[in-house]
Amino acid sequence: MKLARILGLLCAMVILTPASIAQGVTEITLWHIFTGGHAEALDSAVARFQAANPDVRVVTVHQGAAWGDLRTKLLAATAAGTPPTIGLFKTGWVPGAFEDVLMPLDNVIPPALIGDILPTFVADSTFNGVLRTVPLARSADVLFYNTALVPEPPRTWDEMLTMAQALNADRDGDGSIDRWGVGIRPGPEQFAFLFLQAGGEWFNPDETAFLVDSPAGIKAMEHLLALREVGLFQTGFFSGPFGAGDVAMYWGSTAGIPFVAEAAAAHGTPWNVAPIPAGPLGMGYSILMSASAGIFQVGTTEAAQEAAARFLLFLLSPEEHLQWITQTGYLPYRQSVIDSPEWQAFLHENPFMAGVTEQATLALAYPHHVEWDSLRRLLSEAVDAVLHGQLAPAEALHRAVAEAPDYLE
Amino acid sequence: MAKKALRDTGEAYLYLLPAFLILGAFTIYPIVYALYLSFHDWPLIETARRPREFIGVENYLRLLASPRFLGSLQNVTIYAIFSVPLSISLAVGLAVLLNMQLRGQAFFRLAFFIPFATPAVADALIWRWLLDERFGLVNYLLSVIAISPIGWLTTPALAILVLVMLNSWQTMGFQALILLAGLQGIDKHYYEAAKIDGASAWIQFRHITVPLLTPQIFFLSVTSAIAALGLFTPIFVLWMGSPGPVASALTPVFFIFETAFQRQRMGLATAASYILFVIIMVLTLLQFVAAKKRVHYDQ
Repeated sequence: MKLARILGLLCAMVILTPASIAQGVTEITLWHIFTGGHAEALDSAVARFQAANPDVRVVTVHQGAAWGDLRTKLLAATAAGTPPTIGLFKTGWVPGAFEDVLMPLDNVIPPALIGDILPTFVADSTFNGVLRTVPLARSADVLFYNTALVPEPPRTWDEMLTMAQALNADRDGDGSIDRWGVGIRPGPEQFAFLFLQAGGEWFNPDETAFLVDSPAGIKAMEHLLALREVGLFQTGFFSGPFGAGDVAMYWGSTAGIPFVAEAAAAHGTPWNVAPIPAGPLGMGYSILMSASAGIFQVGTTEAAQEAAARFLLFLLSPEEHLQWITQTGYLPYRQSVIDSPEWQAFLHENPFMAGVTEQATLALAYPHHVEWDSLRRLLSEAVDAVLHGQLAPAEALHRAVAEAPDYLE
Repeated sequence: MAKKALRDTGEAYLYLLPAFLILGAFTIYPIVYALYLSFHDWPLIETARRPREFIGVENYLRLLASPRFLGSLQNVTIYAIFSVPLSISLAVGLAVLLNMQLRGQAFFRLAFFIPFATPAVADALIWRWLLDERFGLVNYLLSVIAISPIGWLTTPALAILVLVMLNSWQTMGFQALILLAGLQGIDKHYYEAAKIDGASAWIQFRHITVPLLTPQIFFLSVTSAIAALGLFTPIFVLWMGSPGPVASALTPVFFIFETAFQRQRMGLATAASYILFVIIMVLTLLQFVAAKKRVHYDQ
């Protein structure tokens, strides 16, 4: 009898203690793939939020080295009914798969705040007229350039080709180029912004035809090929070679700014950032990349959803937004922050952010098509085929268009 | 007597019950459910806007007309045609050498078996570093003999070759051990009689060793062909989640993976897996039919 009472008491303690500790504290989880400085920036934002909101505990979970890993885990968790409270999403993931399981944020984010976010960023977070995500870690390709070698950055396609060729050098006289005028990490995004700069349209009005083999697409692919003739193309990142002075200019993501700064500082390389050189239409478009944050409305409690909304609003506040973009190099997207004296002071200390800010206003989003990832993969294969000499630009794009109907039903 | 037999049988089935339950839950049920799903358009995450929908054989018809799926079948067929005979041939040669009782035999046996014992992901990562165009050891060694760097992982025409080389390196050791066991089971009297008749080493190999190794060769050809048609992991690791340049390394299993987890078209993916299952089954049955006349069991 005595033993039964003791056992009963122990069981009650085990069952009730977590509940009593949790009483009044709502735990929310955030899945991401940030590392290094980006992870530190997120952790410090979480610490500031928790200090101001002791009733909420934010648990950040690193979910893999690549965006694909995060996506697979989000899909599996959602299908199993156990998603995190907040997930990071690339735009192409949301249509179809996650759209209906993410909480509408139109009634959570005040209209004045939405109005303060750059329109492209809002549009990219809106799916079928409903705001499902908020921009958090958005980036775009910009032109990094060595100011000692490139006093004025190229502003057009032709200028870039000319300057790239002029800057190639064989410094050690062994007959091979060891300082490249331009470095390119080729992929579908690079083709995409050249395509849009040339005035390309992705689809016909009812989205039954993929139109990348248009004159704009061929022009974009030919420009990429022309750059291939004069520049260094590789799958590795360029921050290291650029910092070492082996590459005078390169297209790279704004998310790489911390790495560029570190490499350039190590070698004393002066550098700056400019928007991507403009195409035939005179616009230096880049593609809006990386991620927005959304709150799951399935598999999460109302209390957790409310706490998550508070956390996102905290991250969107002018102070936190300024802190986040200055620490990470992700794009600024709140107009009031861009116009603020604090931002101007930051620009004075970090002049390269002027180029980043200009590019943010010239960033365009991918279409919200449910099979966009598959279509993007066709573009990637077309770029590969052209750059490796397998197919001519027109042929490669026709091949992509011919395979597209599988994904356009 | 009959009661005792019944009791013994029942007892046996009781002991087997846990295994049956696990097999049923994790193997049989998924197989049957996948067949059911293959007749549906099923997004991984079902919502009111995207419900599961019965569409009959539409998934199968779509696949049989899909250039991408048919291309994946073509790629894996070419890969299997080269990788299976090559790895078995190399394994036969290695087994013969190991059977010669040369010095250091234990070391070589271990050295050749290590790639098979190493996880496939680690093997593929090693090869990714070896074949890197700028920093890889292979291109460095080629540069020593004045050969320009080769884009092993960036040239579509070389994708299948890379996979064949990796597979041969990875499986040769294990296959050699199987064949070595077979070699050591061959009666020495055959060789003695052949020597007396004046048969050369090559004649002995061709008319004694190979025919009496056919059971092991048959076993390896069936298992290797099945493994070849199910190729996925090396591709995923070598090309970091993509099916090679211009999809030159796209295989049916990779197609199933991207259809299920990137496109979330589970019905289409399960239909593709059933088509692959039928192809493997037909191929295996053909191999068994061919084996009746070509495999010699030493009675």
